[in-house]
Amino acid sequence: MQPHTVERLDAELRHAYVGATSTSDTGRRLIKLPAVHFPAGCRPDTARALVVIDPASNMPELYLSDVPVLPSGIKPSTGQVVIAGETWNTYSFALRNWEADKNTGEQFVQGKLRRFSLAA
Amino acid sequence: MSEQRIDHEPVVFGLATSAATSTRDLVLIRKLIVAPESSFIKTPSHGAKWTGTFNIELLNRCVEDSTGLVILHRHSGRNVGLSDDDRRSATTLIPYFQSAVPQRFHGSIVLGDDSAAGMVWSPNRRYPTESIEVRLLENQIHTYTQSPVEQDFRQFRQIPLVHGAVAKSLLANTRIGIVGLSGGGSQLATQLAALGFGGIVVVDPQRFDSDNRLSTDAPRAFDLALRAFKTSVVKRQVLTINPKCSFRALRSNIPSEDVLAALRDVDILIGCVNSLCARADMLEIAGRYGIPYVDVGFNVGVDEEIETGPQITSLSGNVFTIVPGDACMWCTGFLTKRKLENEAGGQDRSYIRLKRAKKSSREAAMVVPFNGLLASSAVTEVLQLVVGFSPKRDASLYRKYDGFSGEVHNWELTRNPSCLHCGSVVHAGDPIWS
Repeated sequence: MQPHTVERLDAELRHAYVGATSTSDTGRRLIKLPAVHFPAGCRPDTARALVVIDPASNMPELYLSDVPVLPSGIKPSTGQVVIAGETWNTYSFALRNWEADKNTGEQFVQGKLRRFSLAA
Repeated sequence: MSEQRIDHEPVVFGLATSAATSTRDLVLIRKLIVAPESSFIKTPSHGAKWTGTFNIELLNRCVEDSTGLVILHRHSGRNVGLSDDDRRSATTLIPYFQSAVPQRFHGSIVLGDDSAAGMVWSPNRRYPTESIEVRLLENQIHTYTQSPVEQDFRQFRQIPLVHGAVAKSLLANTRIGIVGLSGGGSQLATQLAALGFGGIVVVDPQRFDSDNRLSTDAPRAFDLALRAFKTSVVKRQVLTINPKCSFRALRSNIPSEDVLAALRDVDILIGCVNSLCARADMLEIAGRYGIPYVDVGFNVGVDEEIETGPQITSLSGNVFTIVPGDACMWCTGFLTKRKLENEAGGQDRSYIRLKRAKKSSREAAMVVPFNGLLASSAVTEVLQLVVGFSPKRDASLYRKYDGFSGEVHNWELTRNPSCLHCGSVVHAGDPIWS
């Protein structure tokens, strides 16, 4: 991913999510979002999120402070990682039709959160 | 080539990150800058003065790297203190650096033979604190306090293993974190307690039962019958040996939030886990917060495919001591991205759980003595880090054990200059968010 793309995505996310902060750590750009909203019926209904942009990768990664239970009562399979000294949760959902050069940071986040619209 | 004579006090400049723990603030020196002689101004006194141009260079570096500035110099002797000149210089200069990088710590420190004194400004604070302790990580953790232990100092210098006042003080003021209490972890906890370590934090969510009773000598029969938590059993043992030991137990997995918060506060971290991914997480924590890490591992290789029945093909163990700044697991290829991906089965490494594998001959193996040997070796590594009884060894060390032959070998390690962990994670501290 080109440096100007990283900057653009950072700026877009900070514009779209009020209160977002970012930092650079171990060569990656980290953008912390104070709140992302899950589909109706999910518990909890919001969580903090972390977008990690690695210049060596074409796709950012999204991590959550909490992974919600779906309206069906099912909790998606999750894992935990350490990023910049903090614990974050991850879940499996392959985002298609998102490209760094064509799409926005907000589209990336909303695309990844579509996982929680699925029934299971 | 002849040595250049220096007419001023030697001084170096540290670029520092920082991190907060529950009990203290850490100021982590990432880089030391030695100023060229041309940067110093001749003065009648022995104190060092440097040019405004060099100050601006330092300021620019601090801003670019988001670091604080720590000025370090040395006075000979014990019980050192800042001179009036040192104080004047610091209170004049540091506020400029504070205003440039207000989120970091800045300060001026003088080191003596085994003591330190200094003034350190916390982020956005006008007045400095002088309550500091300095640690230098080499093949031993050298701790410089404001009030070094006087008694037995000479004896300790000559015989670091003697259990006199200095050694007792060092051990009592050292906190050890142990992640994993199965084989080696439970056995080394009791040794650390016996030596007099003041604080032990243990992390393990599991219980003792018939499946894991052959890996350690820790549980009693009623512990197995009641399926006691491993942390409870180890707590009982540690406090029976040393009631003064501050003991904390976390029944969580790494990298949960409570575990990360607790491990930031330890002085030495020991990992006795069974996955490379857990090791990678612990190395990240240890490197980021400047904590020496001792990794203990033992593996029984079993070939289940042999027609005549399963056979042991290897009994191999290791004790790997990693001092931040020296060769690490990534430098040496102990950890690689490919290995972590293989362990995760092609998925993101965060999906690794301590899954119970299909029951195999491996789990019924009598490995108590092998784990005991490795546990003792790990404790000697911890002792070396604290009292430095072996002055000539390297900082990071990889010790390989062959259970068949009983041989233990130290393998030479070389730091990889392009290692991402060593270059970017070590002493990274807490990032600054804006």
